[in-house]
Amino acid sequence: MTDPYILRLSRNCYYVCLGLCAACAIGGLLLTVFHISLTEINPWPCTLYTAVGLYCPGCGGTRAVSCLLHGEWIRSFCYHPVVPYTALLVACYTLSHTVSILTKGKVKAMLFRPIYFYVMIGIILLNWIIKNAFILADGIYLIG
Amino acid sequence: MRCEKCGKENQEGMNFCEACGAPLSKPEYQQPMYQQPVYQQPVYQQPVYQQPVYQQPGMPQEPKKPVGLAVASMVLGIVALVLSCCVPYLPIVLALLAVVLGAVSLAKKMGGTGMAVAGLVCGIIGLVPAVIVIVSGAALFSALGSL
Repeated sequence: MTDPYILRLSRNCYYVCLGLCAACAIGGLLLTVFHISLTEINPWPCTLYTAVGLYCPGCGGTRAVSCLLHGEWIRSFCYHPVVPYTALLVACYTLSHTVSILTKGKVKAMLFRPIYFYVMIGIILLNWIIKNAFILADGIYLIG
Repeated sequence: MRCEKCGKENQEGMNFCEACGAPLSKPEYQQPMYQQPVYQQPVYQQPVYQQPVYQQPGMPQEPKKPVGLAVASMVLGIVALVLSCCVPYLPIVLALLAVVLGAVSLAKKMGGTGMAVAGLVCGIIGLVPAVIVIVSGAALFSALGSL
């Protein structure tokens, strides 16, 4: 029997994910309708890259989101792997809870598990280390 | 017992008729049907052992430790890490919040220790690019000032 506290926490996370999905859908629609690029919304260059020539942990994130919105999953993964991972996780989580609510609990929903976040942190740090290793070792800038 | 030949009544137990000497037919002795009682082995049902829940008398059950602070610390730490230096000033605030919430969660021995540690670590790592930028900016500023 699952702890009721975890069930409550999982359901609250579902509401947050639902809000995120709605915000992304509305944002994507507005960007498409008004022909606005994400880089116009986030014009600031990476200050760490400007100062010392190294990538910060979030470098490539905006371009990854832009590619994902255009359906380019592989390019999005190359820019920043955490963006497609998070998109997939949020989509699956939201879908599982929605199906669980519609089937009145016959289909079990995904539960809140810290491992999802530990994997996310691992991807961010690994991506940061690998991309900067290429710069320090061979002067190769993987994401421009 | 009636004789079958002459019909005379004879005493029970007599083998021959008193009148005509004909042998008397004895009623067939029917051995009573011995029915061996059906032995039914009793079904042994092992009693289900239910470990008693020990509750110290007078003491309330220990409440589940809340993990809200740890979760908030971890989420803020991740956001601070991703926005490290792409948005001005916001990542520094988020990273500091992540560090503070994680430290409070660990100090008060609340639930979600792993998540609190993750939030603390992410907050500290998220502050590193900001510190590098501030230090390099300060160094550049002082170099420009000395010219």
